[in-house]
Amino acid sequence: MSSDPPIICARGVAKHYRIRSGPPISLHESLGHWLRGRRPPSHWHEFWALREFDLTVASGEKLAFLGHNGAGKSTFLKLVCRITPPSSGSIELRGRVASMLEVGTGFHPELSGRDNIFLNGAILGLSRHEVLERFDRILAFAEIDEFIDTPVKHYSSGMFVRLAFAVAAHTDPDILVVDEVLAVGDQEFRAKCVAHLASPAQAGRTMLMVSHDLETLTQIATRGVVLDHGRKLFDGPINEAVAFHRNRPIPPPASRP
Amino acid sequence: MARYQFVSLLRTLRFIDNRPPGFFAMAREFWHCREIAILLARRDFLVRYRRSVVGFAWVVFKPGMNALVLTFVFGHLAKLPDQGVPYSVLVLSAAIAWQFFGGVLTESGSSIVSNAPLVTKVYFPRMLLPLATLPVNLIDLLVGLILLWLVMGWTGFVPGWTAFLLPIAGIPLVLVSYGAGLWVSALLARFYDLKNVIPYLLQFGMLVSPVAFSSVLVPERWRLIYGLNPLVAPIELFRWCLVGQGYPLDPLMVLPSAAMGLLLFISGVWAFRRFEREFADVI
Repeated sequence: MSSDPPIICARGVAKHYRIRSGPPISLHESLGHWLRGRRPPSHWHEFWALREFDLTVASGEKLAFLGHNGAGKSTFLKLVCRITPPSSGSIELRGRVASMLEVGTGFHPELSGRDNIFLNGAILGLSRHEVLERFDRILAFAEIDEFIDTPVKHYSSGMFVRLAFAVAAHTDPDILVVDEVLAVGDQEFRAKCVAHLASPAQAGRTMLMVSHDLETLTQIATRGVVLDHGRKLFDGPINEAVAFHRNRPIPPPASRP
Repeated sequence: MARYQFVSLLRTLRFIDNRPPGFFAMAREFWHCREIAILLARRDFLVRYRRSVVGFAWVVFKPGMNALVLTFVFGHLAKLPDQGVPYSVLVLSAAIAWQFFGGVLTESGSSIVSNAPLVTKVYFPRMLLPLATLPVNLIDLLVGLILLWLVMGWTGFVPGWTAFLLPIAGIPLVLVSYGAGLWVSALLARFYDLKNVIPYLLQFGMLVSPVAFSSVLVPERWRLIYGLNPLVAPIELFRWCLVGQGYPLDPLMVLPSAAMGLLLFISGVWAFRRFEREFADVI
């Protein structure tokens, strides 16, 4: 395995946002500044969500990102998913990425469970054929078979969560991104999700996870990366990373409005 | 099999940095993900009239009402020239095309913002979102054509063989509408107050486009300038197909307008590509 090239290789990745302390900019304001030949005024300030971040992940590793709010965990996942581009640096990926979405993203309340499965599957990168192939497994996992043609607005919140997770859990990407989605549903279903992610069937899959639930992370992850204000503080086995994270003082909040 | 190889080609290596992807990489990805557009369009179609009382009737009502008012004002009150065609047919044939343009502009314009939960959570080619608004509006256009057919029957007007050219003549209309939709959706993500300008833009646009009147009305020395309006060519071509070969088309006006339309489409793709990378950060 060590001879294989890394599945993810990030070099000097940085992401900064320009944050305004005032209300969001309007067309009127923007035009005004533009007409006077000036950039927007100086109450913009730069916010570095991530800086000089290097990371190499081997195929099959299960990575957990630890850190307080605003440490840059989710930002890195967004860069890997190509939701937003990095400000500098580069990331090489060798494989298909899919993110396990926040439950219900891309679901339409008026559509039936069946229609939503196909729509969500496509958004997560599956072809129609691939969704058909997985359809029975998704239904079995979600435990909603008799309501499959009912609009999801009539579902109980438990059924809704189960269906959404079931679709996301069956996308079979090379790299799976899990951002805070395990905090949903009842105890029993959560245990089922964790068991699914930690099952031997998922052994070959690379995972990137963010969660505030450290217990869950230690059950799934093999390696932990601790971030603070956009910088990497610690990178090592998950138990050591969790211990490191627990033992450090809570830093002042990042300068994010 | 061929498709699988194609997929694995995309799987080999991806390089992410702060430069936008190349045009061909973008086009290939766009094609690869086309099913998303189909499913999004299906979603929009299924839910469109689900909560309205009269449902599908809205499709007929909008261009029909438009044509009725315009026929009365421009045909009966102002008595504009009608080229020997019933004025209702003359107006309705263009009103259907205009309705399509307006529908696409409004819906694809807000498509990025209204799908914000998707745009900020998952990646797929963003151009599919405005694209997905085309099919629903094409269905509206077909319903409008049935309405026109009824009006033709009622007024005893028989269209010529040119009606068969309609699928081809519709292409410029689709391109111009999509191009304009790309522009608006790219700008709207950043400047949300542009949303309030769209209805006025459409109102003004209808008056300066040959919808309520025929472009024959434009004096010859002004036609080149009138041709700067990218909507003149698609609308007049559309009308020409429906009304028949006797309907005059001035190439001095139609050709510049078609060129402007093409420019609008190309610049729309360019602008969208420029803005799309920051969508998730600004909406």
